[in-house]
Amino acid sequence: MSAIKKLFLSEKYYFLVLPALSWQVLFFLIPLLFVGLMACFEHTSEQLFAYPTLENFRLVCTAPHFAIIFRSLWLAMSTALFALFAAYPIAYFLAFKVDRFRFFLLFLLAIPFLVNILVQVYAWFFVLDKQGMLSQAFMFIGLSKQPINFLDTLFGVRVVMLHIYLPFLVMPIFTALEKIDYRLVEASLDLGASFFATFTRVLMPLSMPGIKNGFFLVLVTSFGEYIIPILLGGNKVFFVGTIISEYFFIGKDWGKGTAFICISCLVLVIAVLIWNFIFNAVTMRSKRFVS
Amino acid sequence: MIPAVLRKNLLSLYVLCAFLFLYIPIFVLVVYSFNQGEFPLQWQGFSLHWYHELFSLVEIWRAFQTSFIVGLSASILSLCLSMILLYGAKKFPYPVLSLFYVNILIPDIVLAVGLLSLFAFFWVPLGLVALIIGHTVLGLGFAIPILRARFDEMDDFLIEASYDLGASETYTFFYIVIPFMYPALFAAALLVMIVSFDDFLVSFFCAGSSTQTLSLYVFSMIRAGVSPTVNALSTIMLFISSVLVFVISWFNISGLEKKS
Amino acid sequence: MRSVTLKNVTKSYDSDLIFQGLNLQVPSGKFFALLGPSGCGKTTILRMIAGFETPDEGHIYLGNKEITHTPINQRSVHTVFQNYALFPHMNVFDNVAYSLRLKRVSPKIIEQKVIKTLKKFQLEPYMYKSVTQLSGGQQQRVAIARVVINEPDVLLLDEPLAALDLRLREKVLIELMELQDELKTTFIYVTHDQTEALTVADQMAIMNPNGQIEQVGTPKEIYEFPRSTFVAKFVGSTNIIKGHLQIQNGTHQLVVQGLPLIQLSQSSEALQMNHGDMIFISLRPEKIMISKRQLEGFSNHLQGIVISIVYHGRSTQYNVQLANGMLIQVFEQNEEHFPKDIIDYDDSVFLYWQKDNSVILVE
Repeated sequence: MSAIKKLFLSEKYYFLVLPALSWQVLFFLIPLLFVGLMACFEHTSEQLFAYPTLENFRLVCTAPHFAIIFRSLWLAMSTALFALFAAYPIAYFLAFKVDRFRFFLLFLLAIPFLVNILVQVYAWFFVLDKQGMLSQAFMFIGLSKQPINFLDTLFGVRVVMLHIYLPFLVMPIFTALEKIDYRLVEASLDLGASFFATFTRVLMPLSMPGIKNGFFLVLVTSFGEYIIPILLGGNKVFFVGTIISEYFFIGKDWGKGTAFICISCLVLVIAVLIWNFIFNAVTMRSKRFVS
Repeated sequence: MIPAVLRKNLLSLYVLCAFLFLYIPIFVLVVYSFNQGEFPLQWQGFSLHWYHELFSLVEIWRAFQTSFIVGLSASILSLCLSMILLYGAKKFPYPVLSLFYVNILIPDIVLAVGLLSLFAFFWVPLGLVALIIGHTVLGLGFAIPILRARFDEMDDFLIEASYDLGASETYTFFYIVIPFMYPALFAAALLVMIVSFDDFLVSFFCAGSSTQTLSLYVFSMIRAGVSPTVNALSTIMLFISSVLVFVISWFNISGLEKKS
Repeated sequence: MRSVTLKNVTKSYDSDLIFQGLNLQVPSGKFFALLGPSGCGKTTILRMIAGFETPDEGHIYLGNKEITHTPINQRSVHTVFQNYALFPHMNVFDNVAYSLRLKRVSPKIIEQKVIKTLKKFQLEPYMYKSVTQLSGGQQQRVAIARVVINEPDVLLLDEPLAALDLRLREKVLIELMELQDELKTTFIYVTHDQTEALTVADQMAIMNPNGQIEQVGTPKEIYEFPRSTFVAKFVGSTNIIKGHLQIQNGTHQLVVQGLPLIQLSQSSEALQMNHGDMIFISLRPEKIMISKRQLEGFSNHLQGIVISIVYHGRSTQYNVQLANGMLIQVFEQNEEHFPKDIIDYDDSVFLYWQKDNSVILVE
């Protein structure tokens, strides 16, 4: 008892980090490790790790696979960019232009964030369906004489992705903008800057951490998106998420599945690094705007 | 160029449109849950018919039960692990808390596959336990930032004053630290529950053939096709989520005011 | 170098009327101070001139040009903010060069101008330092350098000394005066500290808490000839005496109950009044002579008892209670190390002043 008491009364509670840390290692890090390992092994029906091989990677590094990866990446990047441009004005509005309604608007923003994604995607059925709202609106305006089905289209997927991921970007940007003293904006305007110049030279560099956070969150999460493509994309187009689940549940080829994940993640990491570089370059440029 | 009045309000207009974009589908969904007839999507009068049908489906209750148990367990586990971690990490030389921020960052599907592999390797049966484990991992990622923010706000002097008056470590922990953390604990608990209920991918991979969570059930319903019953279920889920979000934010704000 | 005019300006904030029908004329090329208590609306006036706010009604002119609705970034008016509002992600050089870079001036000229300006404000050694690492005084100089380099027509300063410690304030005040003298730009300086305003201004205006401009004039005019009780009390200390005007044989006197007749000068205000009107006069404490002995040669004298004494180093303040219960404040300069007449508590004293040294308030 005295040893435990000593531990408790000592200054260092370091041992307390063990439970959570071990949980993390056991159920987060090791699973990830497994994914990597499994890709490197051939599997039999008894053993998961029969013998090492690079066969899985060879099977996966083909053109069709890469096409899927890059298509998913393209979708993720365009979603993140669209959402970024759409979210920034909203975050700006919330941070600087409202006071009393802010709680209410943040609350309204939080709901789509936390409502089940399935419910939201399902909701879009009613808008995108052949007899749905959007189609009826198009016919009403006169853009089309027949009902259009947006459901199985890439357009539909993009719209829903934007819908789902928009709140993901508003929050970090809002948090970053909140910290900025509005008088900096006033000072910039006062010195003769146009609003655009104020944005590029003052707001953007100062809110860049928030922009980056949100952008990468959306980029990474939407890259592995499964629900939206499978419910909305029909069986026409394949993305990383849908392929992975197919390998695991239909094909039961875990080796190929994990190898595919590894390759996809590699591409994703490279993309993230490239975008990080781009953001840093833009920030640098805005600071010393030498004509 | 653009008339001054319009330009001044351009931003507000845009934000309004953005919020409409976020809410119109939901609105349509809710409205049609009260639609009397089956589809095509034409309004045929108000009715609670589909809600009645919903409540008669036994599987939903079971799925809800499962989700609830998983969510509650994951929530409690996350909170306990997080609180112990925070206490230990206070003076820990390495930034161990930052390690947990990745939980939200990686694509769900990678984690789901990883967990599936882990369970398969160790012959852990898929199902309730697997789900709880997986959801706790997710939960830690959400709970730790919230709890940490509140924990950092705590004045060290509070703890020292407690020792000074003769309290032991454990007493202080339970009677000083925990009460201070109430609003954050509440918010984190609710958030983890919501995350658990909403989770699809991890459940998809780790639930196995015998267990079904609410999300999985909804998914299978949607796959089966558009049906007003799903609308009804969705509306209910929407309502519950909104209430929970409201409670979280309300509690957070008033709780913080009380404690400060 | 242009003048600023506000004509009939009205402004409200969420149903709170700040001012109505305000008129103000700021002469070109002068150091103008706008003095008033906190919350009177003086900062709002400044913001309207800068363009951050638009008046609900009325017009604002810069010289002959109307700028009421001109956007902020198109006015030749620059502001020095109270907390300086320096761009934290830029160093000193970039902050100062900001407005020039916007105009796409060539980098070489920018460098020249910036270095010249920095030298002038003794900021050259800090040229590439981040602004967050500077002291308060240095930050302020950067804020001023940033606006001055652009040579605006009007420079607005919103309580610039508020964030500085006492020692620095006097020094900065003098530097600002010298700067304005040199640049000849119209400076509009907003403050609630009357000493600052009196020190620095060529012309000043006083605002009361209701958003009205009570008086405009040179510091000396405002101090020596206040036109209302508010101005008299806000700028410096004073004694306000209420009574009835008596006009006898062309001379004016003040009738106060319980006191002997007080002689008044024949000022223009007095000439506008009628016999029997109730009036207020302002009598500055330093204009009163206090003595235990009887003195000759003063138009007015009163008798009283010393209630309290406050030592101010340079001067001593005596609060004297008169026969009718009124309290009069007197400042006496401590001219000698060993005064012949030491005035103490409960001493019976005489107060003397010349009739020209009191002012009738128009109110």
